[in-house]
Amino acid sequence: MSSSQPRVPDGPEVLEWFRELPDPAARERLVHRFLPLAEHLAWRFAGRGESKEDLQQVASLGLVHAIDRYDPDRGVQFATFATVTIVGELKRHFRDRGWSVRVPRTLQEAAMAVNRATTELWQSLGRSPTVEEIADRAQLSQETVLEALEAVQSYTASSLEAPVGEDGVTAGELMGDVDPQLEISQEWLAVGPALRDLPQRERHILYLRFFKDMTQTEIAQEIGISQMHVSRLLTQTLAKLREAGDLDVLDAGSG
Amino acid sequence: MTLDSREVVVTGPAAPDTVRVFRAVAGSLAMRAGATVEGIDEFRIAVDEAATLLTHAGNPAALVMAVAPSPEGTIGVAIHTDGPLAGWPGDREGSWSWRVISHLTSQAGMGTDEDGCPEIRFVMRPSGTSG
Repeated sequence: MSSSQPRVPDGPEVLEWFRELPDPAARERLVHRFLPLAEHLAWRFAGRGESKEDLQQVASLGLVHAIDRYDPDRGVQFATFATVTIVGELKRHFRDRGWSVRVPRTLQEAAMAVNRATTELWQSLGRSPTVEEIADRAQLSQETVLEALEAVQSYTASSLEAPVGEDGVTAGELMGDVDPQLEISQEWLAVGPALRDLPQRERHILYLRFFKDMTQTEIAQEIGISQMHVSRLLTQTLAKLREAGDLDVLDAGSG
Repeated sequence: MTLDSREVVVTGPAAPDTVRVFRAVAGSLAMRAGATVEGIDEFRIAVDEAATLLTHAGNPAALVMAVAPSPEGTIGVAIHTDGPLAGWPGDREGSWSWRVISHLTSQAGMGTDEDGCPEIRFVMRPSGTSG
């Protein structure tokens, strides 16, 4: 990440503003001057399951911490110091808040290792791997792999509107056009409002799995995300629908 | 479902915690049967869906899940309530839950067991692929 740090020269006025601290006006000027840096760094963490707004908030908090902690006498540019502080804040956010339920740190790390191994094996085998294969690759016990796979389901799914690239393209935009059959399927139209109200990507995945009979692997290839991500979205979306509990009218309009 | 020495039976109150235990047991047995990650995942979803469907069918006090791995690598599941339910229509095959269960498993069936308790049965697809 350091290779692409934005070049934001501090300029003599920045040092002057630091000397004026704790004057609120000077502080405000510093925040205003370096907010684009914070937003740029937040953007670099997009597409990992957190909303852009949340990331910007975390990065802004990191900027405020950097202003509080910066010591001009150390001879380091504030932009450099702020970058390190903001990136640290963003990483901490992912470590602590990316999980929708409390998952122990060791299990989070195992889940990351399992995720990596699964992706690698999926690519080399051309199919979904078994737990034994993942355990061998990740150097974990099979029980830990199973536990990690369950824990992965607790990781917050990416929002449809979360950018997945630096050009700001969203996951939804990458999905392409909705299958026209989706719109005309009587069964699909007959399901409850909870299903119709789902975000486009989740709805599309359910349609591909339960109306087009595509496997998770096929869906992953079509949408351009990992099978584990499809699995996570399926599990979370189905759980959401179960909570909604108004889907008992599936074939009400299909006759 | 015929009981054999490999069958695992789990009983608990009809509540989300029990459904989580069912998921964990199903996942563990699927892993031992050599299922793929995708297969395990979909098996667990089907268990979740079936248990939740029965829970919402008429407020049963408890759920019972019997899981029977076969030497061929398949796993049969039967989930039923601890007693007959007045509200159980015996046919929920038009529901979304049923579509999910029947797409993720094979030989899915729904009805009542010999004691008149609502029951959902299915067999895990070992490969996790639809077919």
